Amino acid sequence: MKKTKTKAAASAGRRSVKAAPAKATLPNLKLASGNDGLRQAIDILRDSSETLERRLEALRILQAATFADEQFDAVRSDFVAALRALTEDKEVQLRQRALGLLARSQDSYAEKVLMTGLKQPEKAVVPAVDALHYLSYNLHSGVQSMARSLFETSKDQGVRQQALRLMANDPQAIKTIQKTLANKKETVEIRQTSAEALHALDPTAYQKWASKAVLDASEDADVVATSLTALQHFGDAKAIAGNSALRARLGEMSAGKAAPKLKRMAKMIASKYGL
Amino acid sequence: MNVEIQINNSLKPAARYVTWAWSPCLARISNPALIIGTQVAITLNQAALGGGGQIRFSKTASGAGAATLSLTLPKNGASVPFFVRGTVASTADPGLQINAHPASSRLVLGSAALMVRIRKSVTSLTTPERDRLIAALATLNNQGLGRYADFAGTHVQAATPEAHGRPGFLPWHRAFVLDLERELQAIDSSVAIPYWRFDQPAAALFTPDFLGRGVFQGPGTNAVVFSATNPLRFWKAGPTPGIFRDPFFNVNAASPGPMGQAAALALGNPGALFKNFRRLESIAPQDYHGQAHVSFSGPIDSIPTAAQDPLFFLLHCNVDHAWALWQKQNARLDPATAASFETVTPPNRIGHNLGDTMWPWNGDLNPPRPNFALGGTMAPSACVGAPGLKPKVQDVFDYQGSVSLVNNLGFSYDDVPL
Repeated sequence: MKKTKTKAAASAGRRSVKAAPAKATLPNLKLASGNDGLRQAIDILRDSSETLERRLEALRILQAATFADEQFDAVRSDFVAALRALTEDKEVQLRQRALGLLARSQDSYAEKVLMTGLKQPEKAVVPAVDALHYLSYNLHSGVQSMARSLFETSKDQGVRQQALRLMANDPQAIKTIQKTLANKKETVEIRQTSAEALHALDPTAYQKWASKAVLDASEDADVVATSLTALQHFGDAKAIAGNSALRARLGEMSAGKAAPKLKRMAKMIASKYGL
Repeated sequence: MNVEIQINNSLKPAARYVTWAWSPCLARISNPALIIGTQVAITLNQAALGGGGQIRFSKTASGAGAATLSLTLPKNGASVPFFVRGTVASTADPGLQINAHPASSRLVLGSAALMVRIRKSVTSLTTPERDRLIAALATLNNQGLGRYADFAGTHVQAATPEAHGRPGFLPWHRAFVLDLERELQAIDSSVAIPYWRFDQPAAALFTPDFLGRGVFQGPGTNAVVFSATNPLRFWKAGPTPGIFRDPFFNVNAASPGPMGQAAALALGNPGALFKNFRRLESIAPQDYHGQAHVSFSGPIDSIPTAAQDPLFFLLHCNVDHAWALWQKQNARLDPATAASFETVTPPNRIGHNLGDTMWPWNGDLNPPRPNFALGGTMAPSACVGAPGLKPKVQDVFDYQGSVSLVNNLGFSYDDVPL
């Protein structure tokens, strides 16, 4: 990626939500059949003088061909080498795609590139939010401690959300997750991700918290809805039936003192657990 | 006098599901009070229960069947066999019921509720059908602690040769989808896995109320957006909670990658040969299956992580749907027909020959099989006996029991007749 390898360049890959074209047409690369065609596709993929559109199409064709298992073996090492080379490409979309594919097969080269970028942002080739996700495919890559650190220090809500997801595997993070979930100054998105993380890490603790959230009249409606969803689908029937305050609140909601969505969910919970 | 009706030769609630295939049923006098003589003539018919669906009756597992059936039941309680098959799919459970009447009156002597449970296109699911599927998936996943983890952990790199790049690709994935479907049915018997026709628009599938909304051409690193009421928001089948799937195409249109279904079905030509047809798995520059996987950025685009996304099973249900269509169009349901499979000498790798048992259901850890096998044997069905706990490749061809009723796997597709 030469001189453009800066934090700003890495950030260029952040989600700028594009409008999808109504009907896409794919470029015809006019490839030969069989492995010759796959080698042609690798050449196009590596060639920075080709258009991004043609290079992405070459990558898509190669990716699809990996599903053929051993038939792809003849070009597999060339493909992996091309992907590794793409981690330095001028096009952020290609860097992201290459790192995603490599990370999903726990490629050590890609993990090193990603970790370097997190530790030294000036060397980052993709945004931190993406690097954290890619590194999550190998929890032994040291990414968890990095996630805890970034959650505390980053101002980027996307990075903090991604870090929370990683912390869902980390028992050391449970107090931070609980604190974040309870903090109404955090954004709803961060709190919802905290809920998902706590649910994954300690379902019982989350169920208790969700029951309290339903009782909290000042709680955000979406957070209450998420809590009701968890209780409805993953709830401990005995704990719910034994919680008289929760039963009463669900009764109030069902009787019409709640938004239609919450009312409907309260009724479903009451029906499921025979309240 | 009372009549007892058994669906799929069983009184179990979980057995009261039929497909387009003929289901064996039994009727008998369970209370002979007031019967004069040694036998009684009854008529079976169907009555709506609100969930829709239609069935046909027959004394044999053949023909078109009829809307009613007359039987003579002995007073001594001996069972009399008959057969039922669905002709219109139900949308809820129960969909309808079989009533037994005296031949000359409308008095109901006995009844049995049932559902015509059919695999449908995702675009034709009702909202309750969608929500039941989502709830069952979420329960099976159980925030990463449930049985779904075995499915995600089976379709990984080390197991690739068991299921890909060889003739067993289609049979193995048929068994894999069936195994998951049966696990879902153990949670909610009314659920059948829908298929995603990836060569057609299916906008409703990629919404916050269904499988989540990703970002067009995103890098596949932010979790798809779910509504607060969607239990899939607690999904965890990979290293972190969430489902990661950004489309490269406008989800209001079909993905431009995969070839159309007609082209996929024509791959078998000339000769309607399986060895040609199976190229739908992966053939550059355009195929049917691989191109569907790579219509997204995220775990579904790679073999080692693809099954972390529940979309995997809707995608593969459609690949299986295409195989089912091809089998029907070309009479390739019988594995004994040479063109139905690719039998070669020397044999294919183990796991890819008709007589081979399939991993992981066989529990075989001997090389070249993988050194792990998650999830145990194939989930059983209360409705049918096939394909058995340790299915062989040949056991999954005749999925509707068209060649032999005992082969019935207990599923049908809405647009593939018996």
